[in-house]
Amino acid sequence: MNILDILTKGAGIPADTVRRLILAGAKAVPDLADEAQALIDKLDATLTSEKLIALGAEIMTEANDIAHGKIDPRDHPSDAA
Amino acid sequence: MQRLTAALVLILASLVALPVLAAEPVLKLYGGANGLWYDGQVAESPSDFEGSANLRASLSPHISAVSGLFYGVNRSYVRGAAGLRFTATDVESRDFSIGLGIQYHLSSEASIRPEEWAPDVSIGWAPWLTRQPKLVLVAQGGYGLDSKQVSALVGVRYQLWKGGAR
Repeated sequence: MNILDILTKGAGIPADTVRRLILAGAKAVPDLADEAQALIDKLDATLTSEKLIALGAEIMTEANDIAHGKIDPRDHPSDAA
Repeated sequence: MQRLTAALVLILASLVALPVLAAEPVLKLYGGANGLWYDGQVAESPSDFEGSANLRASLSPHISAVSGLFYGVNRSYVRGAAGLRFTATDVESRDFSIGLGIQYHLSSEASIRPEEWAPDVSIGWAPWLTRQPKLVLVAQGGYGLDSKQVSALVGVRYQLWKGGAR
Protein backbone atom coordinates (compact mmCIF):
# COMPACT_ATOMS: atom_id res chain seq x y z
CA MET A 1 0.00 0.00 0.00
CA ASN A 2 1.36 3.42 -0.88
CA ILE A 3 0.88 6.76 0.85
CA LEU A 4 -1.72 8.01 -1.63
CA ASP A 5 -3.82 4.87 -1.08
CA ILE A 6 -3.85 5.46 2.68
CA LEU A 7 -4.84 9.11 2.32
CA THR A 8 -7.52 8.56 -0.32
CA LYS A 9 -9.08 5.55 1.40
CA GLY A 10 -9.45 7.66 4.53
CA ALA A 11 -11.03 10.47 2.54
CA GLY A 12 -13.15 8.19 0.36
CA ILE A 13 -11.69 9.56 -2.88
CA PRO A 14 -10.23 7.32 -5.64
CA ALA A 15 -6.43 7.65 -5.82
CA ASP A 16 -6.56 8.06 -9.61
CA THR A 17 -8.87 11.05 -9.19
CA VAL A 18 -6.26 12.73 -6.98
CA ARG A 19 -3.51 11.97 -9.51
CA ARG A 20 -5.60 13.45 -12.34
CA LEU A 21 -6.41 16.49 -10.19
CA ILE A 22 -2.72 17.14 -9.49
CA LEU A 23 -1.83 16.74 -13.18
CA ALA A 24 -4.70 19.06 -14.18
CA GLY A 25 -3.33 21.63 -11.75
CA ALA A 26 0.11 21.26 -13.32
CA LYS A 27 -1.39 21.81 -16.78
CA ALA A 28 -3.09 24.99 -15.57
CA VAL A 29 0.11 26.25 -13.94
CA PRO A 30 2.99 25.05 -16.17
CA ASP A 31 5.56 26.35 -13.66
CA LEU A 32 4.40 23.57 -11.36
CA ALA A 33 4.67 20.68 -13.84
CA ASP A 34 7.95 19.29 -12.46
CA GLU A 35 6.87 19.77 -8.85
CA ALA A 36 3.53 18.11 -9.51
CA GLN A 37 5.18 15.01 -10.97
CA ALA A 38 7.58 14.94 -8.01
CA LEU A 39 4.58 15.17 -5.68
CA ILE A 40 2.88 12.22 -7.40
CA ASP A 41 6.11 10.20 -7.15
CA LYS A 42 6.31 10.94 -3.42
CA LEU A 43 2.66 10.02 -2.88
CA ASP A 44 3.20 6.77 -4.79
CA ALA A 45 6.08 5.78 -2.50
CA THR A 46 5.36 2.53 -0.73
CA LEU A 47 4.78 2.69 3.00
CA THR A 48 5.88 -0.79 4.09
CA SER A 49 5.36 -2.39 7.47
CA GLU A 50 9.16 -2.35 7.89
CA LYS A 51 9.16 1.43 7.48
CA LEU A 52 6.34 1.80 10.02
CA ILE A 53 8.16 -0.42 12.53
CA ALA A 54 11.34 1.63 12.05
CA LEU A 55 9.29 4.81 12.53
CA GLY A 56 7.85 3.41 15.76
CA ALA A 57 11.34 2.70 17.09
CA GLU A 58 12.51 6.22 16.24
CA ILE A 59 9.45 7.72 17.90
CA MET A 60 10.15 5.81 21.12
CA THR A 61 13.74 7.07 21.18
CA GLU A 62 12.68 10.64 20.46
CA ALA A 63 9.91 10.54 23.08
CA ASN A 64 12.57 9.58 25.62
CA ASP A 65 14.73 12.51 24.44
CA ILE A 66 11.79 14.90 24.84
CA ALA A 67 11.11 13.57 28.34
CA HIS A 68 14.72 14.43 29.16
CA GLY A 69 14.34 17.95 27.84
CA LYS A 70 16.15 17.42 24.53
CA ILE A 71 14.15 19.29 21.89
CA ASP A 72 15.30 18.94 18.27
CA PRO A 73 12.84 20.68 15.92
CA ARG A 74 12.42 20.26 12.16
CA ASP A 75 10.37 21.99 9.45
CA HIS A 76 7.52 19.70 8.43
CA PRO A 77 4.97 21.20 5.99
CA SER A 78 2.41 18.56 7.07
CA ASP A 79 2.35 20.05 10.58
CA ALA A 80 0.47 23.02 9.10
CA ALA A 81 -2.58 20.89 8.21
CA MET B 1 -14.13 13.33 29.72
CA GLN B 2 -11.78 14.41 32.51
CA ARG B 3 -9.03 12.22 31.09
CA LEU B 4 -9.59 13.66 27.63
CA THR B 5 -9.40 17.16 29.03
CA ALA B 6 -6.20 16.26 30.89
CA ALA B 7 -4.68 14.87 27.69
CA LEU B 8 -5.60 18.04 25.81
CA VAL B 9 -4.16 20.25 28.55
CA LEU B 10 -0.93 18.21 28.43
CA ILE B 11 -0.66 18.60 24.65
CA LEU B 12 -1.37 22.31 24.75
CA ALA B 13 1.05 22.78 27.66
CA SER B 14 3.78 21.10 25.60
CA LEU B 15 3.08 23.59 22.81
CA VAL B 16 3.90 26.40 25.20
CA ALA B 17 6.34 25.00 27.74
CA LEU B 18 8.68 22.58 25.95
CA PRO B 19 9.89 24.94 23.22
CA VAL B 20 11.79 27.06 25.76
CA LEU B 21 14.19 24.11 26.06
CA ALA B 22 15.18 24.29 22.39
CA ALA B 23 17.94 26.28 20.76
CA GLU B 24 15.96 26.60 17.51
CA PRO B 25 12.44 28.00 17.16
CA VAL B 26 9.96 25.15 17.40
CA LEU B 27 6.67 27.03 17.31
CA LYS B 28 4.99 28.08 14.09
CA LEU B 29 1.66 29.85 13.68
CA TYR B 30 -0.20 29.60 10.40
CA GLY B 31 -3.28 31.37 9.12
CA GLY B 32 -5.24 29.87 6.28
CA ALA B 33 -8.38 28.57 4.68
CA ASN B 34 -9.65 25.14 3.78
CA GLY B 35 -12.60 23.09 2.64
CA LEU B 36 -13.87 20.29 4.87
CA TRP B 37 -15.98 17.38 3.68
CA TYR B 38 -17.45 14.43 5.58
CA ASP B 39 -18.50 11.05 4.28
CA GLY B 40 -21.08 10.27 6.98
CA GLN B 41 -21.57 6.62 7.96
CA VAL B 42 -23.72 7.26 11.05
CA ALA B 43 -24.63 10.94 11.03
CA GLU B 44 -24.38 13.51 8.27
CA SER B 45 -22.11 16.49 8.68
CA PRO B 46 -22.35 19.20 6.05
CA SER B 47 -19.28 20.35 4.20
CA ASP B 48 -18.08 23.88 4.77
CA PHE B 49 -15.41 26.42 3.95
CA GLU B 50 -13.30 27.34 6.98
CA GLY B 51 -10.86 30.01 8.04
CA SER B 52 -8.11 28.59 10.24
CA ALA B 53 -5.32 29.32 12.68
CA ASN B 54 -2.86 26.48 13.31
CA LEU B 55 -0.13 26.33 15.93
CA ARG B 56 2.43 23.55 15.94
CA ALA B 57 5.47 22.65 18.03
CA SER B 58 8.11 20.45 16.43
CA LEU B 59 9.61 18.64 19.41
CA SER B 60 11.88 16.12 17.68
CA PRO B 61 12.66 15.03 14.11
CA HIS B 62 9.51 12.89 13.97
CA ILE B 63 7.24 14.15 16.78
CA SER B 64 5.14 17.31 16.70
CA ALA B 65 2.32 18.64 18.86
CA VAL B 66 -0.31 20.26 16.67
CA SER B 67 -3.44 22.31 17.24
CA GLY B 68 -5.92 24.25 15.15
CA LEU B 69 -8.85 26.62 15.51
CA PHE B 70 -11.36 26.75 12.65
CA TYR B 71 -14.34 28.95 11.82
CA GLY B 72 -17.04 27.57 9.51
CA VAL B 73 -17.99 30.34 7.13
CA ASN B 74 -21.38 29.01 5.99
CA ARG B 75 -22.69 27.70 9.33
CA SER B 76 -20.88 30.02 11.73
CA TYR B 77 -19.41 27.37 14.00
CA VAL B 78 -16.06 27.23 15.75
CA ARG B 79 -14.17 23.99 16.12
CA GLY B 80 -10.79 23.15 17.58
CA ALA B 81 -8.39 20.24 17.38
CA ALA B 82 -5.21 19.30 19.23
CA GLY B 83 -3.03 16.24 19.16
CA LEU B 84 0.20 14.62 18.10
CA ARG B 85 1.62 14.04 14.61
CA PHE B 86 4.46 11.71 13.60
CA THR B 87 6.31 12.48 10.38
CA ALA B 88 6.55 9.35 8.22
CA THR B 89 8.66 10.79 5.39
CA ASP B 90 12.17 12.27 5.18
CA VAL B 91 12.43 14.52 8.23
CA GLU B 92 14.99 16.79 6.52
CA SER B 93 12.68 17.62 3.62
CA ARG B 94 11.38 21.18 3.96
CA ASP B 95 9.08 21.12 0.93
CA PHE B 96 7.10 17.92 1.44
CA SER B 97 6.09 15.71 4.32
CA ILE B 98 3.44 13.27 5.42
CA GLY B 99 2.36 12.92 9.03
CA LEU B 100 0.40 10.20 10.80
CA GLY B 101 -1.31 11.27 13.99
CA ILE B 102 -4.34 11.65 16.18
CA GLN B 103 -6.22 14.72 17.40
CA TYR B 104 -9.11 15.41 19.75
CA HIS B 105 -11.77 17.59 18.14
CA LEU B 106 -13.96 20.10 19.98
CA SER B 107 -16.86 22.00 18.48
CA SER B 108 -19.37 24.73 19.24
CA GLU B 109 -21.91 22.77 17.17
CA ALA B 110 -21.49 19.13 18.14
CA SER B 111 -24.48 18.13 15.99
CA ILE B 112 -22.60 18.92 12.78
CA ARG B 113 -18.97 18.73 13.93
CA PRO B 114 -18.46 15.74 16.28
CA GLU B 115 -16.40 16.00 19.46
CA GLU B 116 -14.15 12.96 19.41
CA TRP B 117 -10.69 11.52 18.87
CA ALA B 118 -9.79 11.11 15.21
CA PRO B 119 -6.63 9.55 13.76
CA ASP B 120 -5.50 11.31 10.60
CA VAL B 121 -3.06 11.33 7.70
CA SER B 122 -1.75 14.78 6.74
CA ILE B 123 0.19 15.99 3.72
CA GLY B 124 2.04 19.30 3.48
CA TRP B 125 3.61 20.61 0.29
CA ALA B 126 5.52 23.87 -0.16
CA PRO B 127 5.75 24.04 -3.98
CA TRP B 128 7.51 27.42 -4.09
CA LEU B 129 10.02 26.95 -1.29
CA THR B 130 12.44 29.60 -2.58
CA ARG B 131 9.93 32.23 -3.75
CA GLN B 132 7.15 31.65 -1.19
CA PRO B 133 8.70 29.69 1.68
CA LYS B 134 5.82 30.51 4.04
CA LEU B 135 3.10 29.14 1.78
CA VAL B 136 2.01 25.52 2.31
CA LEU B 137 -0.67 23.48 0.56
CA VAL B 138 -2.22 20.91 2.89
CA ALA B 139 -4.52 17.90 2.73
CA GLN B 140 -5.77 15.70 5.52
CA GLY B 141 -7.88 12.56 5.75
CA GLY B 142 -9.30 11.62 9.15
CA TYR B 143 -11.57 9.06 10.78
CA GLY B 144 -13.77 9.88 13.78
CA LEU B 145 -13.58 7.06 16.31
CA ASP B 146 -17.06 7.76 17.75
CA SER B 147 -18.97 9.09 14.74
CA LYS B 148 -17.37 6.57 12.32
CA GLN B 149 -17.19 9.39 9.78
CA VAL B 150 -14.29 9.96 7.43
CA SER B 151 -13.32 13.53 6.71
CA ALA B 152 -11.24 15.20 4.04
CA LEU B 153 -9.63 18.61 4.38
CA VAL B 154 -7.86 20.48 1.58
CA GLY B 155 -6.48 23.95 2.05
CA VAL B 156 -3.73 26.51 2.09
CA ARG B 157 -1.70 27.84 5.04
CA TYR B 158 0.58 30.85 5.39
CA GLN B 159 3.17 31.06 8.15
CA LEU B 160 2.47 34.15 10.25
CA TRP B 161 5.00 33.72 13.03
CA LYS B 162 7.69 31.43 14.35
CA GLY B 163 9.42 31.41 17.69
CA GLY B 164 9.63 29.65 21.00
CA ALA B 165 13.37 29.20 21.21
CA ARG B 166 15.45 29.49 24.37
